[in-house]
Amino acid sequence: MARLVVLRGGHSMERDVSMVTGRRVAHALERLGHEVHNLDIEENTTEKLMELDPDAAFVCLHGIGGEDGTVQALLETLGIPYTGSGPLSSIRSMDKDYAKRAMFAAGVPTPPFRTFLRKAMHEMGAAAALGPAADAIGYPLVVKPARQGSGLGLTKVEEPGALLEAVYEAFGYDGKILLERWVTGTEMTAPILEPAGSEPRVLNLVEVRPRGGSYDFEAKYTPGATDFAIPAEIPADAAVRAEETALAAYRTLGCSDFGRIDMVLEGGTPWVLDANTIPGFTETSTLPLAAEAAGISFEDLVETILDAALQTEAPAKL
Amino acid sequence: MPLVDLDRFDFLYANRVKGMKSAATRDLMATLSRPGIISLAGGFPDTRAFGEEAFREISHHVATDSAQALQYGPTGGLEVIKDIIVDVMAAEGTRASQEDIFITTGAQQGLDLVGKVFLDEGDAVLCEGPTYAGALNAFAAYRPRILHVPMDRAGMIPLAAHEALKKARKQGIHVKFIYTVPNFQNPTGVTLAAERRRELLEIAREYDLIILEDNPYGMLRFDGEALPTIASLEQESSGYPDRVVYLGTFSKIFAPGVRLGWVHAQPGILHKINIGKQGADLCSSNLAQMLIYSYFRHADWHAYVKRLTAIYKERRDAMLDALAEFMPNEVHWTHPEGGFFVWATLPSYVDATSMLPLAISRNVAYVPGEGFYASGSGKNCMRLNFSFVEPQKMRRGIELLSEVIRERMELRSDLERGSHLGAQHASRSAAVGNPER
Repeated sequence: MARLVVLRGGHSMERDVSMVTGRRVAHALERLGHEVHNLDIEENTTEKLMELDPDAAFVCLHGIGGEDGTVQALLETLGIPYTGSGPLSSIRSMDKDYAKRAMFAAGVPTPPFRTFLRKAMHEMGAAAALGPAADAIGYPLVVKPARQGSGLGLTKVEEPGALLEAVYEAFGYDGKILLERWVTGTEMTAPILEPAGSEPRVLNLVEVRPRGGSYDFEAKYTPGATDFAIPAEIPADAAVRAEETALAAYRTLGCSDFGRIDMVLEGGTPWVLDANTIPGFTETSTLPLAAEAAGISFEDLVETILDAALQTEAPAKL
Repeated sequence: MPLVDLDRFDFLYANRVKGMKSAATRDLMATLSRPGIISLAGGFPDTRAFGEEAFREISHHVATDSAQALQYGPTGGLEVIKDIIVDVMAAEGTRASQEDIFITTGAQQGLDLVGKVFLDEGDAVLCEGPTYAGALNAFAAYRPRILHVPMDRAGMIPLAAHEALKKARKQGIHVKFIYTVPNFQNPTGVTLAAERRRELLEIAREYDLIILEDNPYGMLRFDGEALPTIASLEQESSGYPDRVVYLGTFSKIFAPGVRLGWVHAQPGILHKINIGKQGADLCSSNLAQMLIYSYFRHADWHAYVKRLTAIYKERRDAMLDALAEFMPNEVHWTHPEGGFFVWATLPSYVDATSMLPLAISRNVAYVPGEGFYASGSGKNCMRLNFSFVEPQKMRRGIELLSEVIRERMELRSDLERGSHLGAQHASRSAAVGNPER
């Protein structure tokens, strides 16, 4: 039995989702016989962590503050082992600009993109480069905040006239945004598990079929709004390629313990759109569903991730 | 396991719930519970003002008749509570008699029951634009068309209401009732002018419609003279309640926790509402009714309302002062004489919905305007609540909000400046390939 802290809530837009993830994980840990303390992100979180001095922290936070290395760096400072990726890997995966640059350099397929910063818009008139950047990428394209999950602030742009509104919207969520080529094809996600002492593996490729056409915030967290095919119904060779690509992305970004790589399969190429170092554990989340389909119960999944955090001889997280 | 169906009863759900969705902004509202955030998004009365002692006292009275408090009651409510309501309505200048009063579980249930009684799918409701979002939700189950009538500083514009009805008639759309919140409307804080109340009544007579007068805030007036309710104007002219269905509530003058409201209407309509309520919840809580009875009979409720009004007035003033101090010139807002809300209008290009995440990240929240329209208008508007936030915090909240708005306005001008250059750039490139050169 270990004394554990489950960190959930936080200040991001995905607070609600994090509360659900945290509740489910905490219940599983209790059923496994551990002593569980639930903590939110507050002014005295550090103090509480020092008082509790847990054997490990199970990080169930999503989005800014929880998934971007902030909490991870603090936990390292406090000497508390924690689940999931390290600070550098976290910020790299959270920020799509960083993630895509790293993947691009490593030869992992990710759609062409351009980055814009709010600061450059204001101080350097960078808006003048929007049109040319969009032309270079080609329409349709997608405008999205660099550091926001769950599809919030994301707009598909079909023609130049709609570009400015989309940019304006995306900047509502982050001071950094991306213009990215729109890829059409089968939407897939690859939940990855890396048990202690083993190589990371894709649990199952999950095909995402949102009923309303787009896999947005609502489709993600409304039961019944999205259908999943597990495993994805794609040709065997494409599946192999997709799994290899997902694992390449996971390694390139330096992830640890578990993660989820989101892709779109277009003409045989699995384009990587996004990497999540702390994917959801809700009833509608793909990680626990894929684990279940692979014969791993929710408790086993949680225990495996905890074991990876607790192993002392593991190399330092990135 | 080829296909995972997460909601396997999807094929069984009624059509009416398929259209109902939880907006992403609603989900964002969950972040408001976190510490440090100044929420101007609520619509709560300040129940902290009531006090433990007063609560203990009224509970003590109720305990002496615990058997009745714990029992089912009549569908239309206890007789004793109706006497209280007669007094409350009289305090607002509306004559009422017991037999025209029907108790509901909050005025919200009144909205649902009126919808249930009058609306078939495709029927229309005429209401203010913007209107109370909870009314839109209540009506939505009956799948009506919502016809918004524009407002100005004096409330719904009668001429526009008239035009809308004429147009609906021409199109064969059956309008069943006019829904209005005449005093310190939710969300705008605007009050319907006395003359317009008469005009609206005339229009309803001309088109033979019901008027649904929803008056939760009427008693919370800070300045100016109270205006006659539409219900009282009708009785003045015809001597009895006829086409005005009046909704009252204890939520703002006592507490929303008791979930008690009422419908005042003519017996024919109440009969239908009674049938509707039997199916909904049989009766409202006896316990809640007796708590209210105990308080309104034994305590000075007028003094309590006066105390609440003073608290809210101070907060309204704090909000208006802060708005004047911090907001950019391009932002406009209403000046309510009572109630809970101020409605702010931003430059047309500022989308209050997409601005909300930024505001929340800066620790201030509001309700974006589009939820108060069935049509998706009001994107550049927001509802600001002043009843639940202390003056000092309010000032800070408005200051933060102003910074966020300024930032969005500044980004817009940066983008437009840039896109102008971008357009020049594009035309220059095009000119290179021009055969005339």
